[in-house]
Amino acid sequence: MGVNASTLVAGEVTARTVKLTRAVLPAGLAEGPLEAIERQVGRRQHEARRSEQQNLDEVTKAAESVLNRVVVEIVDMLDMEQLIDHVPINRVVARVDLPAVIEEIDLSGIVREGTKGLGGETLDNARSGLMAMDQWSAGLIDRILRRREPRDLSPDWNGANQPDAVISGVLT
Amino acid sequence: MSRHRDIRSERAQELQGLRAGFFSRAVASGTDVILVLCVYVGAVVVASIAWDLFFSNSISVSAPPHWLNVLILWIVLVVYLASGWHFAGRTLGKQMMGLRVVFSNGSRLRFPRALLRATLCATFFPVLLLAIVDRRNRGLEDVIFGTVVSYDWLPEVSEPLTAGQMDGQLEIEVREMSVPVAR
Repeated sequence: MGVNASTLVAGEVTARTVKLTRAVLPAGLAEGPLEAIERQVGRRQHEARRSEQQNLDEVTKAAESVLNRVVVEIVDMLDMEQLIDHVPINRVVARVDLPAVIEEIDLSGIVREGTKGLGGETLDNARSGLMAMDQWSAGLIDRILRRREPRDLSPDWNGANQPDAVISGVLT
Repeated sequence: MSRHRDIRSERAQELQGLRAGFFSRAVASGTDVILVLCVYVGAVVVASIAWDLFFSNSISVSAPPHWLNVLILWIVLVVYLASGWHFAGRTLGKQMMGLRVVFSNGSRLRFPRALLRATLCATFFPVLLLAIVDRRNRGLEDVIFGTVVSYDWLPEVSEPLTAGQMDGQLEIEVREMSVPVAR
C-alpha cells in the first residue's frame, strides 16, 4: 500500500513537471519525449490506483469478517434470558402505535385479495370440471351415434360479423 | 389493487368463445332456477310478516295458493332470464358457469327475442336436452331463436392486465415502512 501511494505521488509530480517543461521548451523539441513520459506515468498511475482499490476491498472484507466473528462471540457469551429480563418489553410495546402499523401493512387488502384469488380458483375448477363433462358426454353420444367427425363448436356468426367482444377467439 | 384473473387451464383457454355443452348449461340454468326460488321464498316470508305486523294481531308466515306460487315463480323466472340475456348477455347462473348467450350474428339478444326464449325455457325445461345430441351443442331454444351459448369466463368489461398480473399470481404490495411510534 505504501509503495502504491509513493507511486501515485511520484506520478503526480512527474506529470506536473512534464506540463511545466512543455510550457517552457519549444513544441518541436519536447513533444516526442514528453508524450512518451506522459504515457508511461499514466500507465503506472492507473496500475497503482487499481492495486490500491483492490487492497482497500480486501481490508474491508477482512474487517467485516473480524467484526462478524467478534459480534457473534459476544452474543454467544450473553445470557439471553437475563438480558430479556432487563429489557422493559411492555414499555416498548406500549410505545408502538399498533393501529397505524396494521394500517400500513394493509391487512384487509391482503385478506381480500387472498380470498378473491381462492374464490376465483375454486370457480375455475368447477367450470373446468363441467367443461370436461361437456366434452366427455359429447364424445360418448357421438360414439353411440357412430359419428366420425367431431362436433362443430365454432359459433359461426352466420358467416357475418363477429361480436365486438371477440378477440382471438375469446369472448371478453 | 383491483385486478382480473387469467384463465390458467390451457384447455379452458382453447374452448373460450366456442359453443358450451349440456352440463355447463344445465348447471347454469339450475342455479338460476334455485336463485329465483330463494328470492321468491324470501319475498313471500318478508311480505307475510310485514302484512301481519300492520294488519294482524299475531305474526305467521302464510303460504299463497299453489297455482299462485307457480304463476308468480314462472313470471319472475321469465323476466329474470330475459333481462339477464338482454342487458348483460348472461344471467347470474351463466355468469357463475362462465357462459354467454348471444344472437347467431354475435350481437346481444333484443328484448322481445330474449323474452320469447325465456318463456320457452321457463315453460319447458327439456328443450335443453337437444344439446346432448346436437352436433353443434344447440338446445331447441337455440335452434328456434337462432341463439348461441358459448364459454366466456372473462368479464365483459375488463380492466387491462398489468404485466405482474399475467401469470395469475396474487400481487401483494410490499411497502417499505418504518414502525410508527405514538408520542
